[in-house]
Amino acid sequence: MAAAAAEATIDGGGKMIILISADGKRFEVTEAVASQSQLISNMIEDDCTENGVRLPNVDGDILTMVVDYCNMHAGDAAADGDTTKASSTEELKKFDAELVQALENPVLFKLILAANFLNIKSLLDMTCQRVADMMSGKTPEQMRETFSIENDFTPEEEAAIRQENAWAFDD
Amino acid sequence: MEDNVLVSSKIHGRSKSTTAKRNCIICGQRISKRRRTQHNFQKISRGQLNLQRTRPCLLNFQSLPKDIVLRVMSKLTLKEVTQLSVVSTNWRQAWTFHPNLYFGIKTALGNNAKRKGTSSDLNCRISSGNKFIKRVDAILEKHCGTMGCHLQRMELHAPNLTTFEYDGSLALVTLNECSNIKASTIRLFDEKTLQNILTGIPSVLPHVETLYVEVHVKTQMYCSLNRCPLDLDDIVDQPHYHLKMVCIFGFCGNTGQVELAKCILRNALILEQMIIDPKGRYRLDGYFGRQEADEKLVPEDIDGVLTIL
Repeated sequence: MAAAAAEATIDGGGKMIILISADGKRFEVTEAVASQSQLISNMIEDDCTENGVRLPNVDGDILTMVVDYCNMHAGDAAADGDTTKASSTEELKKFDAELVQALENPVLFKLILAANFLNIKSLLDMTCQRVADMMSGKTPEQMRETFSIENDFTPEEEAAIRQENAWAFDD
Repeated sequence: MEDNVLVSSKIHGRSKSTTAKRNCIICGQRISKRRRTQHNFQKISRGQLNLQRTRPCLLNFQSLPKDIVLRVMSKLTLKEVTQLSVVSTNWRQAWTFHPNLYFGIKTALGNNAKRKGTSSDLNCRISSGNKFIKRVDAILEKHCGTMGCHLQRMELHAPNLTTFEYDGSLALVTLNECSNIKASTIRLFDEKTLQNILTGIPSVLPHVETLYVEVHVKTQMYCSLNRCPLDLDDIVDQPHYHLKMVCIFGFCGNTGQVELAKCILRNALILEQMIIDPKGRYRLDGYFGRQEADEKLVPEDIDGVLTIL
């Protein structure tokens, strides 16, 4: 069934590809959508997507987000234009912001790992930027709280490092 | 096809091993050591996320692969990343990998430095100038980019800079708004072409009045057949209107050096002095070099600029 579906084509003539998450969820997407992942794009080029693409380290929930993202952004890259999917820049920005804004840290990190594994540069950049934005302007103590990091310095050590890198702390 | 399989399994392997190695896993509901910070964390995740139920292991930022952590940090400023050094031992050195080093007055001297740096009190300016140099040096000394990786670009925005000393190739340096540099010293090692010394360096420093270039040129000892030594293949006769003084240390008289000296004598139109010092590191007496200079260079010295030590 998977093979048949994967071979099936839609109106635009784009081949469909099945992505299978770690927990066995199946996602059917066009080649144009899937090739935003460099990993899958390479696999398409080498004709090894017939039986669906198993992604053993991407959970279904995360893959849902990735597929949403790719569907939304397919207009950017797709030359054989499925124009109904192509969205305006503003819409895309809004979509991107909403996608990462609400995420809890662990989910965001999983999304980063998935973007890294699938090699989707724009998604990786965007998610990393989100984490960077969360770090920006925080005191070390706030940072530890946000990212659940244990302070493994003694007060003396911490003072020594502050002294060593004084330029970054005196304002 | 095999390539792809290999790549994917590699990536998979890496992320698996990261998972195995991570030392900060917080396992959903089974937190044994409860810290204040984790407490918050857990409360939110229970309340909002069904997503975690499929896999109870919560990822921590520090358990992400190192390249991703560095990618995130590269989006922060150097100062922000340096502030992270006190967060935990894992992050202590993170700033030394930061890909962009921007040394503004604020970066290197702190926020209230702007006032001091531009103050009319000369002593104050000198002391903050020295402080700036010290800080930049200290940062460069520890930054790993200055040890292993290659510098790709260096920009200087310093309208008040009057003297510029630099060791290394200027190819990577852009001097923006530095039109007040009047004197400059450039030290180069192993320069392969004269072109860069004679036209490349001056073009980077268009306003400099006094330019002192110290360069180590490799010249070949033996010349096979009639070919010129490799390094000097590109000697092109082209008049040079600014070169006033040349000093060649360690002149041993090999063909390359003789050709180099002759080329300068021919082309430097306002040359006032050329000093040939045959005492190199390995030829303490410099006898041979002196002999060769007498024999081959003196006849070329039409303007009487040559001094052989």
